[in-house]
Amino acid sequence: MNIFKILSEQEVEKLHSASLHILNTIGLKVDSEKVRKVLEKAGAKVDKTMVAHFPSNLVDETIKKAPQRVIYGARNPKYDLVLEPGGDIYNRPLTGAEGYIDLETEKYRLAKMSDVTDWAILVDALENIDYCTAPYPSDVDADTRDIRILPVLLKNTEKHVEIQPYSGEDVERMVELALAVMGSEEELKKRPIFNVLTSITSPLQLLEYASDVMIAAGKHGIPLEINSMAIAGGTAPVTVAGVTLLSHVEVLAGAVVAEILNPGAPIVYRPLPMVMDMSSGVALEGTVENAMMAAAQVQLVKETYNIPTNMFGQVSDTFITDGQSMIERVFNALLPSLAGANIVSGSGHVEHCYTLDPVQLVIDNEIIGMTKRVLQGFEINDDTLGLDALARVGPGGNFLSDDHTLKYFKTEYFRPHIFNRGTREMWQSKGEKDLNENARERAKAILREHKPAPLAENIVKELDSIIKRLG
Amino acid sequence: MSILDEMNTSVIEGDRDKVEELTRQALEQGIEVKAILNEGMIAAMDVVGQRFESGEMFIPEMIVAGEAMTRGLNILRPLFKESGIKPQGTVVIGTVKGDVHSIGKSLASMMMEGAGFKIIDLGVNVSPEQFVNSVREEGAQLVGMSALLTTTMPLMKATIDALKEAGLLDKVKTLIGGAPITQEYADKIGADGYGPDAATGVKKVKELVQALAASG
Repeated sequence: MNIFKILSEQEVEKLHSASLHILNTIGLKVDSEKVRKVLEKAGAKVDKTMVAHFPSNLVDETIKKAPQRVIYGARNPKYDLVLEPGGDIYNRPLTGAEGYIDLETEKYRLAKMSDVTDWAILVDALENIDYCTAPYPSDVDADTRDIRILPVLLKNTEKHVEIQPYSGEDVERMVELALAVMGSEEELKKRPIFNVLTSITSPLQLLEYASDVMIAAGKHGIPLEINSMAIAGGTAPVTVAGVTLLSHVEVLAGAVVAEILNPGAPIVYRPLPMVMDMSSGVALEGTVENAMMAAAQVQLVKETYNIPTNMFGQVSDTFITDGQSMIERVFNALLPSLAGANIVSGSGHVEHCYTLDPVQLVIDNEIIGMTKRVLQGFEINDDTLGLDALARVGPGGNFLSDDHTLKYFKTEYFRPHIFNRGTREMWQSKGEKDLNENARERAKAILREHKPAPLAENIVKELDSIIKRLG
Repeated sequence: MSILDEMNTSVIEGDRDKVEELTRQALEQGIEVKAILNEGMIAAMDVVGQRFESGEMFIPEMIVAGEAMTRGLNILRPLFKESGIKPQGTVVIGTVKGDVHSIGKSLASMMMEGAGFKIIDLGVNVSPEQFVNSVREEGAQLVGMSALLTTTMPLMKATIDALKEAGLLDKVKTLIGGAPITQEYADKIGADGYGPDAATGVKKVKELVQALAASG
């Protein structure tokens, strides 16, 4: 469903032509000489300042090679995700955060490897979180932690997994790990059980590590989420329109490069335009304008190249799971979802990408459940209108035991796990707990009770031996 | 309004052309270089720092104020020697190795320049050796290090260690800043100070350099 259009037809056209203009005239600075040569051969013009300029027809032809349908495979095929126009909406948590709110002490600290395990178990159990990311732990080697977290996720969730790799070589190690689970390159290509995220560095720069990640991912058919975090007023024009455009252009530039390097490579459009807080210099992501930017970008992509989109939704700039966090994430999750995004992400995080909180993750599971419910809509026909039921009950009766009620009451309404409902007395008798307490209890219960389906012993052994070789 | 008052206002308002023009006029009128610097510029940047801290001014306004002052300073600087003006001190500043984030660092150096310090800005991705060499060559009193990434924060410690090894730590103070930096981290790695933002950073620089002068 796609019921919200924030842009007019003329505005889409203006943004699109401005994008093509920027890609051609201003271009993308490409650090890798090897990549510059490939781009030049494909028809880009590379100038003396290492900047590649992409003629409009090259952009059009190249991005058209990107598949509109991308599969995010999972250890358990029942969790396979299909990203396609008009498809279901999916959700994932934030990737890459280094801070963590301890479930027991309720205090902030740096993330540990044991949190990665907990995080995967929580995602595995939470029914509205569709795939998994990880906190980046500080108690392992910092240079290889991107690789080290992958087997931990694979062991603790049957759902698809996303990693943010530090280099192309790291992607090769990740592929090795994934092969241990999937058996063959062919199977992995068909149902890639992990995807990688890489970034364009604003404004308009492709660093060598990022193009290396693109090359390695494309080679193995691993889906690539292309990210831009242009900051309004810092690394992008300050206006809503300006930063919306630049981060869109940057992701398109990344898409062009990825498709020139590996034609047909599965890619996902994933901009995260930010706003500089001019008092602190911090890059904000939870402003109400962020929500408008995301809606505009989804519409823009849908009405031009129509590749899958992953927008930031569950976002917040506050430091704890509080009311501000709820306000910001509901606005930001709802608008791009209504615009028709394939993925809305960011669950569990606070503090503009720095910190993950398992309590917030459990709450986001409800927010995204409600979002999915909105997108599901409601059917209108004689049965759902209850015409027969109304005739049966008639004036003055009630519907409690009517067949129509029994048929629909369980499925028609979204049922949150952790909301306070009922009467004040009921609430008092249960200890007067608020949303956060309810969520904390559910998180603890999941970690106590939920046992993700284990990997076969020989696979676990192989994963461990690959990690051991890292030293 | 006197010409120095007008200059003071123009710096605060970030009117770059006007500050340049007023600096020339002030010199033509025979006003002392020292007075122009202190009353027209440094006093203005003090106000900018205060207003930023109290939330009345914002980063872009602070930057253009700094740029306006720099325009005037470029005219005054060649006259410093004959006027007997010495900088408050020399600061070597840079973003540490492995980190290419420049905005915070540039903001801090602008504010330090506005407070009358001589700034040697080594840019981004600066190795411990580059910091050491620059401190030695410039006879700097303070090293300012910036990092935005938790993965590059250890390079701050490496730089402090390198300064120690080079026998420079009794001659130079160290100040660190950047989004993930905390006072706790500064204490842990033996940095002399931590600036949570550019305005507070400048205050720390003044304190540290004064302490250094008092001790030496």
